[in-house]
Amino acid sequence: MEPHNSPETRPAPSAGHLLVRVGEQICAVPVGAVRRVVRALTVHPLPGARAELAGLAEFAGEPLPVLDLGRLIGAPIGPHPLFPVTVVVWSRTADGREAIGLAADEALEVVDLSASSWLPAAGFLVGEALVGDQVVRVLDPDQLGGGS
Amino acid sequence: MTSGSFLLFHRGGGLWGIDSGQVVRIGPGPAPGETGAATDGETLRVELAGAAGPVVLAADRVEGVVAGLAVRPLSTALRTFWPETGCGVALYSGRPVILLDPLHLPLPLVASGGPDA
Repeated sequence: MEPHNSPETRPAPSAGHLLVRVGEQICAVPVGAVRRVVRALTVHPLPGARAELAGLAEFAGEPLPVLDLGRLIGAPIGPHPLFPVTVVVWSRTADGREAIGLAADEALEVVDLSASSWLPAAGFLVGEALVGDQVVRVLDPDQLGGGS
Repeated sequence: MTSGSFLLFHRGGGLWGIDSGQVVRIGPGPAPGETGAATDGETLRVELAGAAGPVVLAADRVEGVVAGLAVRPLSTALRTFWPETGCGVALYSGRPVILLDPLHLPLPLVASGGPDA
């Protein structure tokens, strides 16, 4: 695959990214979009929801939708994932921004990713990057809220 | 925004609220083996009238009637990943509550009388 060069689909290349592990996959989330990393919030399921929506939780006195990060980025996960952390991110919407929780295994470190080397990706991803020999899937939180 | 009073009930692992003015009766669910008996924990049936028409919701447990909930609109992400419709979302005792739209009740909650009944 060729590097992804479409500027309109790419966030600012200088932004750092928080690496988050889910199963065997590493996901990168723009640091500017990260509100907090907390121990797993108690999630209450919603019947009829898409598989990506783990359910609703309470965070900072507000209801918070919590998404299964593994399903969001297409990462293979075990049958009974524990997801011990929740990464709370901001997602831009047409009306402003809203908080969304991402259920994950662990937050690893913050790295600078060079957007010029990203490979194209679809869905909620803006690209894939190499960190060492690991393929990292770069998430666009704004896509989760329908904005950007 | 705050609103009127809501009947809160548990179903499917979630906590739900319905305008208490829509509720006409709360009764037991069908007994095991009875026609229409649920196999997934349903123990109560909440009968609605008014704008909703005659609709029966399945419930695992009733929490009670509460007033003064701070109601927020459903977030964009919630609307993206949950295809149903609701009047809003609130917290009750630190737990999220989906407040139901009587005219657009989620099918997984409807025991009878819903759009497909």
